[in-house]
Amino acid sequence: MKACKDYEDLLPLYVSGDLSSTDHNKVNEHLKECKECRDYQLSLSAITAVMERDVVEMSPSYGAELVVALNRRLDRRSTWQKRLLWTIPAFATAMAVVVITVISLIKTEPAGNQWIAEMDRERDYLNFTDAGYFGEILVNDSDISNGDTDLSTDDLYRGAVYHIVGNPQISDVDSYLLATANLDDEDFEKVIEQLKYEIL
Amino acid sequence: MSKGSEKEKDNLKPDNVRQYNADSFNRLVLENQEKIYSLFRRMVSSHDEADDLTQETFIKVYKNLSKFRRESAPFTWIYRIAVNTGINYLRRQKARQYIGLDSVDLKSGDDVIYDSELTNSLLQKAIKKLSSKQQMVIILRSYQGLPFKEVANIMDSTENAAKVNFSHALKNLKSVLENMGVSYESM
Ligand SMILES: [Zn+2]
Repeated sequence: MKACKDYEDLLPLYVSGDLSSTDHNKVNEHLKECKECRDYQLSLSAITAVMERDVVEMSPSYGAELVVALNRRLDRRSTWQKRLLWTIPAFATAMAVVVITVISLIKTEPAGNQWIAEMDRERDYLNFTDAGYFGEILVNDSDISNGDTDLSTDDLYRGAVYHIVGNPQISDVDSYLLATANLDDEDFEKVIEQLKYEIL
Repeated sequence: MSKGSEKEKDNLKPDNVRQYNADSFNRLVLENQEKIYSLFRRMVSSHDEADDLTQETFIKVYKNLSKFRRESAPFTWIYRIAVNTGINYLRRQKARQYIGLDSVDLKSGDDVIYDSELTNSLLQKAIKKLSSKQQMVIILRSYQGLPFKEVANIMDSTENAAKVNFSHALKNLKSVLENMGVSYESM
């Protein structure tokens, strides 16, 4: 004899029509004599009925528009990649010089200089961009020089994590997150915590 | 004609993948866009977001064409990329909220309605409260109407695991809706 709790576990699959015929019949028998489970089943059926009825409205030209948009993006991507290859080493050298200059400037200039604050921020970006985030941050990120001053370290770190986690263009993080696709959300949060720790 | 479709399948064999040209990619997009767009449209609240995710998926499809092995149908493979893209997106959102950069909707009172009829927009709000995997399994099985065998292939799990996941998801959904004050009486 099964308890109501056991039937409750079978009801979602009963409603979706995915039980074996033996189990289906057992549930049917129980539903005849148990109002509580019957109510439960009706609620679940109401939910799945709404979902099954739902139709996504789509413009009939969406497919064609999508093809055009994709081809445009793919064309652009190939020229972009070439440009990035040129940009990265050149900028890396320039930044190394700038960072050294900034460090020597900090000794003489009082803190709070907006430009220095910005450079500090960029230098921090550089420190964790070894793994290939570098070029894309340089080219795409408009936040870098948004003129924010007096950022606390914490704000900076948050900004950095935000940038990495929030930027869909950063493929390394994509693969990191992708590798976690089978984790529970709770474990995933641990990964984010770890990501935060490792990157910063 | 069946002969024609067999030829198309041949084009997807690893040996021939390099010859996979823009035309066949475009055809792959046209054949699958509806499924992929509607998957995302059920996951996010705007057309623009769904469109972005659809584009992202097909860009990944394009970039990974050479890695595609015919262990599964192109449809399953594309769906799998879409599901991973979707789970990633949901998690990005969550991570951004987690590190405090996106404002979290703290006024949970907004969600509580009393004795309301169960509508699809209410349901979509409730689904967002599930874990990303549970959201996916619900969307794939109940909205997209895919059989569990296919859901399992797409989510890279066993059929049984997909069923268990779905059962939990639907039961959770029911309690979320109850907490929101939905009544089933009017159904
Ligand atoms: Zn019962």
